[in-house]
Amino acid sequence: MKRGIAVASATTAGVIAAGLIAACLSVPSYQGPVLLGYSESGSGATIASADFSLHFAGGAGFHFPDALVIDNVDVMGHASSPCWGQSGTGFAVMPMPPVSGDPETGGPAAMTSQLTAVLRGPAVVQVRLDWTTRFAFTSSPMCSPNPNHMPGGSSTFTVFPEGRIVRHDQLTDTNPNMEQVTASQCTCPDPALVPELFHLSSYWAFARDMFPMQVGLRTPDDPTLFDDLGAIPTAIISNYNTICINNTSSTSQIASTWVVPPGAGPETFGYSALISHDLQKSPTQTLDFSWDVHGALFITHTDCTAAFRRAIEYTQQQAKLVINGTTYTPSALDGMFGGDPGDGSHGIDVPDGRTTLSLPLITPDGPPAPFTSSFAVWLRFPREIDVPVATRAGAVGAWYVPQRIDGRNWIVWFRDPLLQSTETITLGPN
Amino acid sequence: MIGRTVAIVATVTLATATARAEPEPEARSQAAGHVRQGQAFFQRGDFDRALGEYQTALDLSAEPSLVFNIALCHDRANRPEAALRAFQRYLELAPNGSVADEARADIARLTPIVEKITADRAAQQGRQREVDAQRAEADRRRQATLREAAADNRRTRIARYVLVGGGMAVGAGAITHFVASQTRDRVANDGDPQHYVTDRHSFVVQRDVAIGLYAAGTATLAVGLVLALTAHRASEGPQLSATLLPGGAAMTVAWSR
Repeated sequence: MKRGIAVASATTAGVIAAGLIAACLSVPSYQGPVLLGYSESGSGATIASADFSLHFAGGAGFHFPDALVIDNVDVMGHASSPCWGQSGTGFAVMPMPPVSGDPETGGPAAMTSQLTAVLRGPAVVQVRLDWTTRFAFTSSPMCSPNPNHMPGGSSTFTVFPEGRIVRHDQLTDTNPNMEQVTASQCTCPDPALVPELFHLSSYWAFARDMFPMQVGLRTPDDPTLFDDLGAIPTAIISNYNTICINNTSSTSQIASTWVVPPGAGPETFGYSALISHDLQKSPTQTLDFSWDVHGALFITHTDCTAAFRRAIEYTQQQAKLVINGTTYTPSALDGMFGGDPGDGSHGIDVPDGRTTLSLPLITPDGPPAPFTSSFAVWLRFPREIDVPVATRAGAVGAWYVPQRIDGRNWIVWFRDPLLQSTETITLGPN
Repeated sequence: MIGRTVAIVATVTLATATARAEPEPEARSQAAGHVRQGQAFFQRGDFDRALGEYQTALDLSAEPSLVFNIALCHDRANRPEAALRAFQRYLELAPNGSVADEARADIARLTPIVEKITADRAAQQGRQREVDAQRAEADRRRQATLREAAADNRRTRIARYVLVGGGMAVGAGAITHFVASQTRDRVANDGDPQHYVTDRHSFVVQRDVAIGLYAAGTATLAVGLVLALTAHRASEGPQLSATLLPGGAAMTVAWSR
């Protein structure tokens, strides 16, 4: 009988072993070549490609980007500007200190700051920063004495391997007691900029000494050099919704663009240490914190003309893609075809069979719409698939990278733009 | 004794040959020659050859006295049963023959001897039958043991084959497992989606084959183990029982040795 138990035990062990073996031999999901990676460390988080990386601040402060490294050099502007001046990336709330990833002595403290990786690559990385604060800082203790008054916001950064960073900012003001916060009570001591008015803006700040050539666009056909910012330490030039800054060795350029909503205006600030490209809300006497804007950065290694073309394509919604006969434009909030239209939904529904991607014609006999750079498409299949497989005549190498969201939802990043109306990409489950 | 008897035989032979006229003269002559030759052998104590000569002469002449001579040869050759039968035969052929009294005396002498021999033989045959019966029983038991041993060997051999088969299946599963692991590594690193799809399909097939081989091999090994443990007691093999319980059912597999 003991032997029977032994045999039963052996059989059970065999079954367990078979189960373990089956677990060990699980089917690995498609990973794809990592063009863009996301990693976290004690000092924050990093989105990195072969050419650039965007670092998000860690620690107890606001986890906004605090470094943009291109070709191994941080090109972000870190200012020793006045108390209210821009530094790094974030929100300026002049005359208060800004909300940014750069440490500001005496500025508002982060009550919460949560960085969430929504998409982790290998082609598209998206992080969302949710934060809250209280405007009760050392130099202005009476700015917001009500502890229930907690302004906050979220910023979503969607990064693509070709050097495109799409940013979407939303600000909210949790103020249950309807506390009135006025600029006169919340000003920095040095120097008072414009007393009695709040100047709220989303901004990117860049290291000025690395970009001596600065070009701005008020309209797509009117590039204007504004290299003379250096003569005026606190110069402000309005109305450039798109600027391009060219580095000293002309090996990289950055185009920054904002989509300007009603009641806001783009401005370029020039300080001794940085150039800040802002989208500024119309000044108000009391703090009006509601804010929903978006823009993008484009990193190139050719010239500002190419960078401008990409920026204009974004702001003008020029890129169009015909997917199974329906024309789509990329989401301005995250830069993807099939991206967030503003309600948080994602994905273009495609059938189980083959899906065709092509360019639309401007007129039936005209040329195709322009399409200048890499693009990403968020597709939703009717069932879970292993990986979408695409075909395109003449395409070689890693010309597309599928990125799994879940079994049904896939982002497919295409390296090369569609340039000819005769070009077609077909894509399917297998 | 020998000399007297031979003389009688010779006389009888001659007298008989003279009285009867049935055989051909040439046969008679030949028979007489064989008789003489038989007498010579008889006198030298070579009774078997003498008996042969007398038998030949008897065949040629049908002389009853030669039967008596043959009986004498058997008697001298210590074959009392044959001698007794020959003497009795002689008396049947020639109850008033010249050596009839001699034959009767010999019959009287030989009868108890033959009876004793017969009795001894019967006893010996009885003992032999008993020995044969014991031997047959032993043979039967040995055959049964051999059959059982052969059956045991067959079951052991089958168990061994099953175990070897199970081991081979597990081994094949391990090899397929290794190949599947290699393919899995390739799948995990496939950058090209088309290659991923192709390699994934290969991996799934290899994995399923490996699992199947492992399962079949393990089950076969378990069966082989059961067979090996129960190979010598076929009557005490695995007992399978199912029991219905208030809350469900139980299945038990048990065996003992």
